[in-house]
Amino acid sequence: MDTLKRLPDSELEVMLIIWNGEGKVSTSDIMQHLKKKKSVQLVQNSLNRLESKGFVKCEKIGRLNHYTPLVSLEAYRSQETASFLEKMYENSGSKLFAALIENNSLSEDDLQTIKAMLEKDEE
Amino acid sequence: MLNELFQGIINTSLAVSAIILLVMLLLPLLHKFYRARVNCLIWAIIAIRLLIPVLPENPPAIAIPLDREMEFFWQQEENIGEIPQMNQEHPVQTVRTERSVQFKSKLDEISPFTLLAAVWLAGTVLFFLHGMESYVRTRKRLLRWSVTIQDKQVCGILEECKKELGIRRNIALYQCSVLNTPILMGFFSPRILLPDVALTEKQIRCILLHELTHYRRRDLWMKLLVMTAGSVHWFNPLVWLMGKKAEEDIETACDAAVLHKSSGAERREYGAVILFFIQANHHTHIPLTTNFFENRHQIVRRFEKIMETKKKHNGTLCMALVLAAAIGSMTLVGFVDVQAANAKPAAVPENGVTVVSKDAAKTRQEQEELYRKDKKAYEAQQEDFQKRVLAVYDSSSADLQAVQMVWPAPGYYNIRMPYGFRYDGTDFHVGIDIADFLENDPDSQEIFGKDVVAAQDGTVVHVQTEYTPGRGYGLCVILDHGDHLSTLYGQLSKITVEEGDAVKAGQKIGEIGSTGFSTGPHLHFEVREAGQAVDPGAYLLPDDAE
Repeated sequence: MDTLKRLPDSELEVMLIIWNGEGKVSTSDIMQHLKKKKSVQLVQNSLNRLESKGFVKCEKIGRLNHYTPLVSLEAYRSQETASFLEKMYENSGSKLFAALIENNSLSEDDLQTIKAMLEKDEE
Repeated sequence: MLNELFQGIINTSLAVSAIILLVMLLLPLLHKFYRARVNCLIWAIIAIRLLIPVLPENPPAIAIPLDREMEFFWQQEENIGEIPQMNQEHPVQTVRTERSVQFKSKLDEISPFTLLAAVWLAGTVLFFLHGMESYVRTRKRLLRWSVTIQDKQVCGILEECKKELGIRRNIALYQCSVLNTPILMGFFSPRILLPDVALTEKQIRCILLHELTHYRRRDLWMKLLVMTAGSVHWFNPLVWLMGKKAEEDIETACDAAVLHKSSGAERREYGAVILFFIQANHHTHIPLTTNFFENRHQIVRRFEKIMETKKKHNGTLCMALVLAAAIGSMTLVGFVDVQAANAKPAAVPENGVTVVSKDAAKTRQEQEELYRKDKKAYEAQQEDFQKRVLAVYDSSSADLQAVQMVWPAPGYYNIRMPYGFRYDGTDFHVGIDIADFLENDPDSQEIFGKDVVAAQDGTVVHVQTEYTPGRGYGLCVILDHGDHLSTLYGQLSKITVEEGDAVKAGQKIGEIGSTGFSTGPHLHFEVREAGQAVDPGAYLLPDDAE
């Protein structure tokens, strides 16, 4: 596959849930993980579209549809989010988030200093 | 209005820069002895102070020199220097030229200061909008890649941490697959986003405590405050530097708050979590591109502080001092103003009729100040003068009792040139020029030879009968009215009094002409307080208009 289509928000949300689950994910699992409640029909539409785009494989187990990802999260993400983080930290917009760490480039020396600091106190 | 606001912002920027500089210099000491929280509050005080401009009711402490456009020696009254003699045969033609120049300069008059103010406003709006826009975009992007976390264990830890910190508010927890560090975001609906990596229970606990502490301390609002101050003062590098330092201190203060009762082992754990994320990111970064202001050491410093168990002071006194300085910086500017106001030339005699209007008479300094500060208001005032003159003298109901001086050219009320700047600010006109209304009849020479009368009772102290054509006042008379008040009548064609004569208000002293530096018949009239020419408007118009 050379290029993946950029998924709209609603489809990506569903896709993320499938990626997040291990192995086969049922429709009811997906319904539970949605950020906001949606009708089954809406979710089913998204799933059908994902299937036709080749993102998921559908299997019927019992009465429920079970979905398995055909595209890996990494493959899709790397395509869509290349340099996203760098951009985020460079932007002044990032000043309005409280991140655990800032985007610092750290030299080997610094890393060793820090490690030493954390270990020194261990005695 | 914009000019005043801009002036206020500049004053604030300068005054607060001094405070920022001082705090920066003391920063190592502050960090050593006081809790990081103290620094955050100091930055907050300064940021709030930065957003309150000191509006210049009075002259500012620091005056901004303005570039006058190229020197314009087309004509200069009362000036030395060779000026070609005007052709007296065709005065009308030349008068027209003079008028057109006047009109042109009025159109061209957008002062450099107003231009700067506009640039500042545009910059402020751009910086702020850019900040908000990239925030909104990033937020949208992050949410797109987020899934709610439903893991019972993780949700349990969140509830525990919230309880520990006394937070009741519902805080959403997401897992975001494009993040490489946990973040807190959202001003109104707070959410914590965790990166898509496997974490131990202890790690999650550290992270959540850290982000929840950010939430509890309203750190996002603090960041917004700093960002806003930075946008308004975008031209001031010290404010940017302060923003950088403030962000660092916010982070340190948060660490300190999380760890404030922790043992060495807990601190190590916490440090390890941060190190974990730093290392996880280590290879993904483009090195050095965004690495300004010694980011490198900043992280080492952060770890030093995490491991530091020394007790520190609350710094109440310290903050009180900064607060006092911040408020003081406002009154200081005010104080300078008062001084400047007091320094106004005191040519006020104790008694006599003239006292009433002394304060109203604008001096050259005041006019220049207004011209520099607010050109619009200055022009309005100049135009207003003509209107008021007509209102007082052209109506039959005029109450001339309230006016302190008699109009020196009875029947002629057109102000060709008011007191103040002319020729685009290159020359200051120290009197008023009274002439015909050209609108009525451009070729009118009617005013030539009409009576010039004494404005007040007084003595003739100077009569000038010799003059160089094209230069100076021409034929002119100076009357002394006592109380250090005198009046001057220039460009006359004929003088009917002699030095030493006593004159009554309204008595004829000469006739209107076009001698000296003049392009058409007019009367140049000056009022001088203690030898200094002031705006005659205050004497020729009733007081109540002020």
